[in-house]
Amino acid sequence: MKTLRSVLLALFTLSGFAAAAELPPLDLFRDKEVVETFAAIPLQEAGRIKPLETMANYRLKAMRARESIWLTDTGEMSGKPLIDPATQKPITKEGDKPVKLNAVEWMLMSWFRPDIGKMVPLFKVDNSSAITELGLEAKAKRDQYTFVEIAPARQILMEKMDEYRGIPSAKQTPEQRMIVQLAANFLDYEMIMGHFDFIREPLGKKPEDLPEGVTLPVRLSKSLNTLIAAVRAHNGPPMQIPWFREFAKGALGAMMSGNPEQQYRIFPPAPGDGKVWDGPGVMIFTAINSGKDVTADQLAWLALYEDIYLALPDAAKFKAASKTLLSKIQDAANARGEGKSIGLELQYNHAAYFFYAQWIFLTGFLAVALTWVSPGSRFEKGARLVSWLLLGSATALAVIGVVVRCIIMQRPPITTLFETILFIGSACALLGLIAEAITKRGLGLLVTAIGGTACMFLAIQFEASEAVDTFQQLQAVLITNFWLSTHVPMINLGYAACMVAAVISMIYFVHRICGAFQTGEGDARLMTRVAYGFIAAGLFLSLVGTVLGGIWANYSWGRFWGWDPKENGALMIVLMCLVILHARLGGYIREIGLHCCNLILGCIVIFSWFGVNQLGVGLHAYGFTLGIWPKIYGYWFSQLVLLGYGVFLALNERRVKTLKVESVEEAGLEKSPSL
Amino acid sequence: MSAPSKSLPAKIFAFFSSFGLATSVLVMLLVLTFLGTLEQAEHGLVASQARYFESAFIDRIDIGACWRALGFHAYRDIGNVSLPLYIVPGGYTLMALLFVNLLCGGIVRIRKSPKTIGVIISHFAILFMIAAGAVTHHYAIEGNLNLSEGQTNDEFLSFHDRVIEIEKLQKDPKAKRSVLVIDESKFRDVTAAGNGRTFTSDSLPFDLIIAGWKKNAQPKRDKDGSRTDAVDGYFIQELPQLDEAGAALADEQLASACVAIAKIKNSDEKQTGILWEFAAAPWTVTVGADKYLISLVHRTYKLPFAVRLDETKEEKHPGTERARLFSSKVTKITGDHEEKRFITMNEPVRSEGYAVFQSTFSSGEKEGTGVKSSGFMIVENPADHWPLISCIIVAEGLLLHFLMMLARFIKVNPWKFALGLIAAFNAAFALAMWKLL
Repeated sequence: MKTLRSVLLALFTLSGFAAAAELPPLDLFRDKEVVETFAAIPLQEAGRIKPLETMANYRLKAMRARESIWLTDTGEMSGKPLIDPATQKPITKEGDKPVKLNAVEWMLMSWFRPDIGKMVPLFKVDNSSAITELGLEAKAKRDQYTFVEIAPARQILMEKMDEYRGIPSAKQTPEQRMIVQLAANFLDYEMIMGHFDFIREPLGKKPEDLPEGVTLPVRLSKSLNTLIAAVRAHNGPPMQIPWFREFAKGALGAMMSGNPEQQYRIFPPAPGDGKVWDGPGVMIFTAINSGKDVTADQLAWLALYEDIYLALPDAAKFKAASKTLLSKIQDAANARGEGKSIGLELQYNHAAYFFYAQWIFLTGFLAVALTWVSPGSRFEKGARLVSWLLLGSATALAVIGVVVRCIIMQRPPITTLFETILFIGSACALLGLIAEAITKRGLGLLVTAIGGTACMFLAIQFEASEAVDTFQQLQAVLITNFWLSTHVPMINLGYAACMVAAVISMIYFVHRICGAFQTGEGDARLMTRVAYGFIAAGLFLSLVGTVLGGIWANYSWGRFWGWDPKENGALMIVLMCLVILHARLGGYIREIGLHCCNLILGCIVIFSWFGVNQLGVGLHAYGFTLGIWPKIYGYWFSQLVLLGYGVFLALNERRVKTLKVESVEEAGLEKSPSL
Repeated sequence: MSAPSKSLPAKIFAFFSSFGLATSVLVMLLVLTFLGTLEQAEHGLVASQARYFESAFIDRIDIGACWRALGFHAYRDIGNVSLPLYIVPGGYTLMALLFVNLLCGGIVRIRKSPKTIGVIISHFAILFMIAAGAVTHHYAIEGNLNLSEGQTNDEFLSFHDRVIEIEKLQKDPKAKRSVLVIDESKFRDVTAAGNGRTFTSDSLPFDLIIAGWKKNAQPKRDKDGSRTDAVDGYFIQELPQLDEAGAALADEQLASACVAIAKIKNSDEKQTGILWEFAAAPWTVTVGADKYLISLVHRTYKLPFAVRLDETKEEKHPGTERARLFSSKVTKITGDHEEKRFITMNEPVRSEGYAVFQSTFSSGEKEGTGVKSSGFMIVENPADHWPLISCIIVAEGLLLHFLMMLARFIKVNPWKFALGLIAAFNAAFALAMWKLL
């Protein structure tokens, strides 16, 4: 089956679309009722049940790095509206404004109006050299290309993809990486646009040599078993059958992806009939390969699915057929006890907790900045109250987002690198607020604003760059809620506490650069004490969290400590906290020294959090993200600059102190105890 | 007025109990953990562990490997740069120093007061944890047992320890086996093809000379007969220890090899062969009517019971190839006594000091046998539960200390505040254990 699919992938070209007169209006697929119906359809993908909307979001994100698209010649709001091939009029909405589609609307347009879909600048190319390498004319260095623009280079794109896939990803050049990604996206979109070919023209425009009993127009819900029997009865390769190529091509489009985990599966089996859902493409290929007839239940699902397409262009019939399909799938899923979180996941998608939290954190930061305008005034008090409200709301939003994710997946909050960012961001914000509640000097609010904004921004960027469903199924060994709810959050809270300490030290040095205070003054002492407290908390959480991880390893797979890079990263955090605490107790570092050490601690946390994943070794080697080293260097460099300033400050203060002592001694005075 | 000068023992004690020593040791541990982590990318876990974390002294730092691990080579490739070192303490020495420092400074010298009780408890727990590490390092054994469905075995193989086994072929197949073993540490430095190192035993009629040991190698035919080191038309070809992407191969993927020469005692006769880890059969030395089987293998350990794999299965996340669960039904056989046990991920079977963990699963499709099999990790560790005890103590100690610090900062009663929160923390943890474990 795999070989057959590969051959078909190579041969796949888009079938002719329906005649313009038969094409449904685009507005139908922007209709709220239609969009909501399709968005809520449960499907099985990558081992879990999710709404179709989630699938559409990530498909669009993989191609375009966003969850929406403008129907203009640039794909942006500023572009010129596209012309509808059916009406030859610009695609606009009220007031002649360009139309923006969300992911579900885009998916519906691609399915039912592929003639428009192929003209939309969909494929984001970050490296124009990749386009030049394909023999196409490049636009800007970073630009978006339509299906029609890439299609002439399809053959060379496939050849290069085959060639570059053989190169380990770490050794691929940026151009090679871009071509592999573009080829995968191009093939996937080709299948998405051809999704309904298996209903539109399942055996091609004018099929020849049809088996007895199969009449035009062919409907697979009625003829599938006859067609399969004809394939089985054929002596020789099935490709020799005149209509087989189109038949298999339609089935491939019905699967919607070359990735087996992302095949389109929307038909729940009867309760007790296995765990894997069925889909139109999977159904056809399984029948071809297994030699078994398709069951009446499966054909009934297929008929329901056909009804949607065949209802077009009648809007009322289309809506009714879509709703019938949705309710049938929901009923079948409910009967199996599945799909209970679909509603919550839709709500989660629409609420965009982290997106809004990011902007509220940022606004909160501005409100905190306003408190510096007129210290001690009523204005400051008002600004501080507003900061509290904004940052409190943003933190609540982030925490709710994390909790909703836990409820959807029925497991503790952290299982992927993406989730660590959300959790640590929420924890930093919460810890900042707790510090503010205790100290009441504005420092905690600033920490919350910086930590919250940075982590939410990072999470959103990370999700867009990865473009895969962030709700991932776990590896067998990780499926244990006790350890996932103790060791993992504790370690991540340790990261958060240490990062808060590092952020306080950054704030300390920025204050020193601005001349806000001198060593030992009130605010400086407060910052040092609070930072010290967070190091202590970081030590407790990191140490106990790390040892708990060892105990998990010991009781689950027999070794307490394996010197794995991730374990070592956690150990380095613990060691750095211990270095700071002991150096401070021993008198080797004081105020400035402690803050300098905190900056190093922050660098170690970043290395442990993201850096060790890039080494590509060890049991914890998850979350490998291409191109993350430059970002880590950026962070390290910024800390190095502050560290350099800290060292300069310490040396300067020592020099001044020495000069003072010398001048006192020269004056013939005894050293006073206060010096 | 100057302070009275300290006696030498007092000075030594002051040094070993000082914050200076504690800070220095912790910084050195931090640096070597960083370097040992980076080197894993090219040298692999086992080699880095031996060089940095288990060694008394570090012999060198591979600056080039660390440079590449940090991705700096994308901007400037510095090639293979090594920094030779001889007196920099390794992980073993540093942990020993830390132990002494903790004992002297953190337990004996530390001021004893209600304020420091949490710190003393934590120091004690860390001492216990270091001791657990030492016991595990010296006395724990671990290895792998692969069983197909229906298969029984009472021996398992070490993951990383290699040995040369010499066994006299018994005429009576039921006779008790007797095997002489040479540990890899005794010959892995004999990398030159020259004279080699001689091993002798009164029970053997020959001396065994080992030469030209290589960590990852394969025997290759000497096609044109030009090799001076060829043995019976084959020579040992060294293989890279990195994969195509430049990452270190796992230790289990490496196959060591060496040349072995059996020099018959009281005679000039010599028999030469190649020992290779992946060899299908042992090398045979014939002395008179006796035959000796010599092989380079992973060290074998014997279990006090046998394990039979009755049934094994794998569950996948629906519609994917990702494993959701591996599990095995096994029978523990001790003499005539049989006991049915169930092993699954995160739920090992413990018996007679050994713990048996589900490690891998094979459907047999790849091997073409169609017979399902399971890989079990087997561990015997006298300090098995010590980290748990230590973790509980260190958590309570640190919580007590830091919560009392916080209480003083926010000006509330330290004892009430700290003990109340510790009670809440313990209750939450107990609840998690009760509900989730």
